[in-house]
Amino acid sequence: MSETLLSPDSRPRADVRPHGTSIAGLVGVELRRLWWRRLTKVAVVAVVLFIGATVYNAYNESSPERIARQLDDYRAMQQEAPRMLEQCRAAQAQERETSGDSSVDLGCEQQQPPTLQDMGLVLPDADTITVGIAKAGALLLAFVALLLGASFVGAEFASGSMGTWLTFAPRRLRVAGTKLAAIAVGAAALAVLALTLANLGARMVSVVNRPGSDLQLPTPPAPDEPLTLLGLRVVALVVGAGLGGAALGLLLRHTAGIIGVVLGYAVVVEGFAMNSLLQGRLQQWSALKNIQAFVEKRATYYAEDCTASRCDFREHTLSYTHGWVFLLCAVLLAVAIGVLSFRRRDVS
Amino acid sequence: MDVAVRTVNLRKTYLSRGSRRVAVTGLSMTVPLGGVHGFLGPNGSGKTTTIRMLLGLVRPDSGTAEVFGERVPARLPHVIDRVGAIVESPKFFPRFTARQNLGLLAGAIGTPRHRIDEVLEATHLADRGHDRYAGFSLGMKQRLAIAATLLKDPDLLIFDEPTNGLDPAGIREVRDTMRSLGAQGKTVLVSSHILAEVEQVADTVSIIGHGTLLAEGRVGDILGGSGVAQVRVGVASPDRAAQVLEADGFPVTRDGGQLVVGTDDPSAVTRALAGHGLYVAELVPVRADLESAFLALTAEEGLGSDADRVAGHVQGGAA
Repeated sequence: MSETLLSPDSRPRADVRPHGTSIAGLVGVELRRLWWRRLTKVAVVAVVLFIGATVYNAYNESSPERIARQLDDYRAMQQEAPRMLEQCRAAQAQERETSGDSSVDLGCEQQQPPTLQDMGLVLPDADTITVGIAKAGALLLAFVALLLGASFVGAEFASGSMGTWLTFAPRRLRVAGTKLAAIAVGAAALAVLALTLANLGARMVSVVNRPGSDLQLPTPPAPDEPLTLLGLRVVALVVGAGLGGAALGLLLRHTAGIIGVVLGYAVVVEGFAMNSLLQGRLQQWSALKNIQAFVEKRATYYAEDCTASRCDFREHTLSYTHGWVFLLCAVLLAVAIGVLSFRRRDVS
Repeated sequence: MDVAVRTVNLRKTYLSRGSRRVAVTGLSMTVPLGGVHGFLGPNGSGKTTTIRMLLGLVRPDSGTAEVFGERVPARLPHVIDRVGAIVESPKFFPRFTARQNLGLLAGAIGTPRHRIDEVLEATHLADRGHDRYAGFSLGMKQRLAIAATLLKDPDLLIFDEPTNGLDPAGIREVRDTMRSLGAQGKTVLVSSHILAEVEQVADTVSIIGHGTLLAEGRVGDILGGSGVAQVRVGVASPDRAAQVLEADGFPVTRDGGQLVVGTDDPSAVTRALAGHGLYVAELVPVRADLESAFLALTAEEGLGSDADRVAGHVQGGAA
């Protein structure tokens, strides 16, 4: 008997026929795919390991043994301070005598023994530790999200699955939109996970390393804004990077190609052109500087300023507003080009 | 006639590295509703491009295409749930299991979850549902692709070169599946460059070459209109017999010790030879087939080299 791949189906067609999916449903399907991907799991593990390492570093920085060592150094410097002041005054007097100039000042009176804060001896504070980890990890999280977004879309083209997908969901704008939405949700979840772990770890460090009542350490200066605001900016940055990666995926259609473009940009543009061309004035358009300005609410760079008579390198400041406007425009532009390209171009 | 697919003057040009390649040149074809429709042509004749245009994957330069009366790609979303397609080789996420791949597609169209079990069962993949797609043989990949098309319970199934790389058992399975779907009243559009494969299952065919339609209609009509009916004759004196037949106006060619006579009336050959005292030892009508029809059509269009390529594939495919 000849075998076919079909078995008689006695079900009513209404039971079998598809009944359509909403946009939210499609986003759900894309999120499921995102979670099933190996790279996503690798990214989650990498982020957990990174946060673990930074928390461990914070623990070491404020461990009782280290504090004890620093206290020893502090006390030794306190003891040394009067002798050093004397030495300085003696040297100053000799210099005045040798030169015959009684106005010679070696700055001895400004020499003060270091404070506890100067020596980094402050109470381990959860918020301060979290801020440090968030600022240090923001760029890494953004890069991971960019890679995830690029691979999420690029792999679909590379495997040819995009063609299969479009024979099920042919509305291209909708398809692109749901993929971007899924990567935005995924990137946000990754950032929230990282910040939550960082905060929990920081609280743990502040409790475990809290010195005994016999040791009075100063509290560090409070962060200049609520921790939530910094967290929201980091989440926004990571979401933007994920969207940018996915948009590049829609445009370039190959993960390796996207990584090549990103690394090429980092080396040629950020590493070379921004610093070397136009005496550093291009740095105001540097993605890294603008990310710093956005996350830390300001960034500085040195560029040459010329007047009619002379040119000097001076410090310039990138404002928070410059940072977020630049990044928002960059992400919107990338998404618009990626989506339009996906809508117009043939899919093989 | 009810129509499942219609194209009118469809044209597509690819731009690649500064050069232009016309893949489809004003193709107008019609696929009737129900049954199996063969879409024939040599490699590079524009079959896959045409199918991609029907599915909205490739944008035509000009011309129109309709599926179930709806213009595509503009109105494709309105009919896509009635269309299942495998374009070239099956393409899924290699690291996902068969069940995961089908789950995603089912989610995209809102197919009930139980349908995944059913189509896996129907394609004999139920026990491999949790295996990764990357580990599948070509035959299993093809079956998974068919399972995916069945998720929709479509009215139109488009198979592009569905037996490429399959073993004989796989080819037979796919062929029987197409026949079965056609018998259920569904429309099956199967593209192939292996003519013998299509001839066995197709009710109607469209033959294209260099992106343009060469012939279209029922298989019987195409074969009848091709003028290629022949009779193979074995006779003791082939030289003498050839002279006699040629004198009576039959076109004759030698094939080893036998004669191939162009006629659709074998009795006329025996009468002519017997009248000269020559008696046939063997008389075999050579059935007109799609390959011959295709060769004749492409020869008329000056597509000789393409036709030769197809003939080569026919031999390979039939082996």
